[in-house]
Amino acid sequence: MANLKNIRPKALLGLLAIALLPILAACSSTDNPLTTISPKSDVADDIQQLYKIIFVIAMVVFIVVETLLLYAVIKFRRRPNDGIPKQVHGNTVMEITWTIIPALILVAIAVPTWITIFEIDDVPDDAYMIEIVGHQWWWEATYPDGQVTANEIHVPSDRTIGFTLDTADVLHSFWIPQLFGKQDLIPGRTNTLWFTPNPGTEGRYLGQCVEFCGASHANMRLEMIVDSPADFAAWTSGLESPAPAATALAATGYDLFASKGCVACHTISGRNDAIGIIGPNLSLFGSRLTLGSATLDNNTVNLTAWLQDPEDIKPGNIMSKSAPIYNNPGLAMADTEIDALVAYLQSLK
Amino acid sequence: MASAVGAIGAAGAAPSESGVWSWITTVDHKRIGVLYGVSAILFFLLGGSEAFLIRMQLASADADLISSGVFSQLFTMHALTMVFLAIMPLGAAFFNFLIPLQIGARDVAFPRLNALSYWLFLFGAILLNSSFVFGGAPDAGWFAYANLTSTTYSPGDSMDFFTLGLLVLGVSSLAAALNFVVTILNMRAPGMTLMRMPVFTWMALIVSFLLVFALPILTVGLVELLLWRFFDMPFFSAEFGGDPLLWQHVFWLFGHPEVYILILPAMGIVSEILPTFSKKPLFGYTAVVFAGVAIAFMGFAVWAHHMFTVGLGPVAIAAFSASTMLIAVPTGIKIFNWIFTLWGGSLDLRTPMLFSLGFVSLFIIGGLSGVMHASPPLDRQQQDTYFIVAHLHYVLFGGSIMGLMAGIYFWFPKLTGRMMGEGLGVIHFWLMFIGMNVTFGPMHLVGIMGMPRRIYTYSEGSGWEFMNQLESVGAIILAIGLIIFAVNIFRSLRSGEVAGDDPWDARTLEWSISSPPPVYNFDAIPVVYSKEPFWDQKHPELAHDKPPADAVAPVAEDPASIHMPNPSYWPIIVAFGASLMAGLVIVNPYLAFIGGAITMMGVYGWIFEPAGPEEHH
Amino acid sequence: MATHSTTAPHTGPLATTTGLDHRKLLMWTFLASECLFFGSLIATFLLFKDASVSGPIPQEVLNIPVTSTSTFVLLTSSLSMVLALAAIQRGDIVSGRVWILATAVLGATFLGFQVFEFKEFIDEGLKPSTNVFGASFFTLTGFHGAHVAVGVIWLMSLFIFSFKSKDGIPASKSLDVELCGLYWHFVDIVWVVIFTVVYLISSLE
Repeated sequence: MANLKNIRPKALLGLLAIALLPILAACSSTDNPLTTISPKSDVADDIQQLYKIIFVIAMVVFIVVETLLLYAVIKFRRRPNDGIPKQVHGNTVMEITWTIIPALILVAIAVPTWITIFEIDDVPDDAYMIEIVGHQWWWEATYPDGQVTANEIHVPSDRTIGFTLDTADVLHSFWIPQLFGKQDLIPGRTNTLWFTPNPGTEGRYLGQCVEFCGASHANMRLEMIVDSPADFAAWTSGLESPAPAATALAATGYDLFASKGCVACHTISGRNDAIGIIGPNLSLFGSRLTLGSATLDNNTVNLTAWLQDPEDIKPGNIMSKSAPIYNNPGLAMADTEIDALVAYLQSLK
Repeated sequence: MASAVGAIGAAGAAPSESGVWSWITTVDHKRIGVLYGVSAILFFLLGGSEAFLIRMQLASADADLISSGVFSQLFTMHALTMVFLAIMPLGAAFFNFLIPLQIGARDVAFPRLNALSYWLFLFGAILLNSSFVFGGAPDAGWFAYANLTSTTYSPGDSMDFFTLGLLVLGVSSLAAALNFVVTILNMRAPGMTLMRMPVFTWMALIVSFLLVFALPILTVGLVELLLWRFFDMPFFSAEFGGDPLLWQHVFWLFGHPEVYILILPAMGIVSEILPTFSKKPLFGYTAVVFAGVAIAFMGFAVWAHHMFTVGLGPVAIAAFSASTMLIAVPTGIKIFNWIFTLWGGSLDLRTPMLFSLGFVSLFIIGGLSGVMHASPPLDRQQQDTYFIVAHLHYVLFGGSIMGLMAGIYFWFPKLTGRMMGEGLGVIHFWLMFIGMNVTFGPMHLVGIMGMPRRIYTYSEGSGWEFMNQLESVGAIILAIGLIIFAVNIFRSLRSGEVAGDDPWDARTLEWSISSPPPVYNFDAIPVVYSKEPFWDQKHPELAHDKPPADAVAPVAEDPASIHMPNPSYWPIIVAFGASLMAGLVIVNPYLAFIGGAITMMGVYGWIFEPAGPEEHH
Repeated sequence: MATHSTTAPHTGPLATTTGLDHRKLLMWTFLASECLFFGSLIATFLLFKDASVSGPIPQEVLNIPVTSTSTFVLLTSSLSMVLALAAIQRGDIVSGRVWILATAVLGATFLGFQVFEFKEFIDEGLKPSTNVFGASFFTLTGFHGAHVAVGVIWLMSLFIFSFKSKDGIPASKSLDVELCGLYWHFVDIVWVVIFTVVYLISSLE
């Protein structure tokens, strides 16, 4: 026993240190883009404050109760000449104690919980409202002035941002952990969500659908890009007037975008023929950092791979299931045609 | 498993009652318990294999081992199998085997109904799993949220297998629950008042009532899902005024009590084992029993904590968060009473005790993480992440499975007459305990790092790679542990040490009869004067409640004169008809009448079959 | 599974712990479960009765006079059920048979009304798939009708098998009838709730 008592605290500390390392690592948002404990907004900060309170309480309870258990097991383990121990049937005072103390601890958790619930509930009146519509498996965003984009959602850093959440098909859940906790998208009802970026938090934030929504649920990610007010203004005005195709190859791509039927599902602002709304809006696609609902970097290799075989990257998606170019061998695209489309899409800046 | 069945059959039944036919027609609660147990363990291995494949796919970023479609089937069927085909029937196995033995009865109240429950379970399980062969298994997650389950987004038959399979399994569980309620309330030995019942039997009674009240709610949900898919009745179609959230309310109104249906049997088992191996009575029997009752009651008032992010409004969310946190109080009462059962005892750390202690220590973790996401703002960051996956596995694996394993090691000698190997048992325990923590512990961390559940792939640079690799190593440790378990069972059946009637110096009635018990259980129905009748009989000087001075020992009947119910093949016919009916609905609703006709024939055959001696009086 | 008449295994000279017969306790517990079943169906109906995006709506199709009549028929059958049990308990073979048959006939009449009502509704454009009112209405009343049908089959079985022996159903076996009666009264009470909630309240609004 003496030995055990000497060693145990050190061993426990060591174990605790090992256990804490990944937790510390999880705080770093560069290594863990979806981390839930690196808040960058007022709402996320509120949740984090609450998390800290509850985490500490839970850890204390954990250590006390497990130590008690471990102590009992070591202290009272059977020894060779044990007789029959005293037959104790219970103790009312103790029962009352361990009813009341946990109840008090729960009150200590419940009160800040309730305060936080109401704090983060209502969208403030002055919020800059963006409409979000979830699709299998991508996100559509419509701005107050009517601009539309998909999967890469720019927001200004100097305002409270609000969202209305709707779905075009099944349930989804909208979540960018560093900025706000999740809210579900449910057919037949419009949910809301809001946050205000903390000062100095301009940058890219990864989000993901967190309600199982079918085959490519895992590939339904998004990025929120918190821009300085000037950058945001430039981006929104750019959405309204994309530059014309710059190269000859891109010009070929421009024509292919119509002749291959892309226009049936995709909108590109500035093009009268491309007004489809089944697929993501591709205005300013060339300036996007990612493609495939924020699953891949937007570069020539990835875009070519996507156009060659979207099913491989996003199983079950409507484009590979329904677009004639992927289902009618006569319309299949040659490599040169794909190159031209890539050049065209990349020119949309 | 043939040898398992053979060994028990040879030991546990009269010579004329062996062979396959005797098992098909058996109405003996002990044999039905064995059937439940063997089937549940096989399904547990199936569900475990599904989990193993999931872990292999997730062991590295951007892995290509399993396609997203198959992955969805695997995680859906893993959950359905573990919940409905492994843990619930394993609980039923213990209920069947133990309830009559613990309350001093010779069988359950309705032996043939009991057989029907088992066969419905088996056929329902086969129906559900046959979907793998017929065009793909259910793949919308085990809680199958509408409207992903519509014919638009889930074309094909997979969701119909889900609906009809669960309906059959629901009827099975309901029949079993009704049977146990009547058995426990109505067949206790003289003197066994409710507050003298063993805690395991108490938990069985609570679970049975939970099933009686929760299953019809699930049934209504499934029926609506069926009608929606087959006849376009727009229950869950928002565009026709339906509401996808109705499914969530209905599912979790069943689903949360279901969680207690899964955990309370294990709590009952542990409440029997801790006293036995501490050589002390359970601390605070009354508190433990009422905590169980309170958990069951509150279990019906917390369902919306699964729906904190659907937009119920702050008041509803605050209320459900409060009711959810409140459940921690009775749960805490149980844990403290278990710890103080150990206090001052003489703890014999053999395998059943190790698993029970494992249960308590792991359940504490699952309970605490549960309190964390009982707080809705935290839940906004944790729901549908691996933090939840970690939580539920600490409760259901660390809790239910560890508890049920403890029970298997504890009652195996009573069932078979042989001890399970202690050396292999200890190795099995440590592999499970370590493997479980290595598999599910890191899930807390990847959850906090934002990893969503039900994703078949994740990208490099997510920061989840190492933890996922570690979890997959844990899965391998668990698999090795289960192999050791299987080896231990086979070895023990063949050459285990002969147990004797009371190998653990235990405390309740089942240990007062031979191992394995005779078909009729008790030749003399015992008279009960205390909570631990067998212990008090062995140690009258220590007894708390002593028999009156003029108490007369019950007289043993001549075994030859004890009439037990006759075997019957009607239960399997009714179960087959009903399951066939459910299966044929998928092919063509009109064909289902064939199954219906077989069921009706079976029911009439059943009614006019002389079941037991009462018919001859 | 409302039709089993399983006997308990012999447990020596003991009476049951509660004093209630096993089968009666089973029936009561089963009916408790049924409360939740119908409760969930009624809750679905209440959620949906005014949620349809297109008609017909309840006020347009519900026919209170007709359903009041069928309700009266069903309630009368509860009376005849009571009389049947009383007759069998006092050993009156003929009355027992008559009242059991009467109960079955009244139940079947109620089902006839229901078939008529369903057909009317469908003719007026309300099918189960028309809107959520239709879906929840047909599901609720359909399942109640199915319960009545099971009761009628049960009663007819009792009636037919009472001729197996010249003693009919002896008083010692009156429990067989009593169980059927428990079930039958429960189904009637559920109908009273359905009639109130679905018909009276919905048509008032």
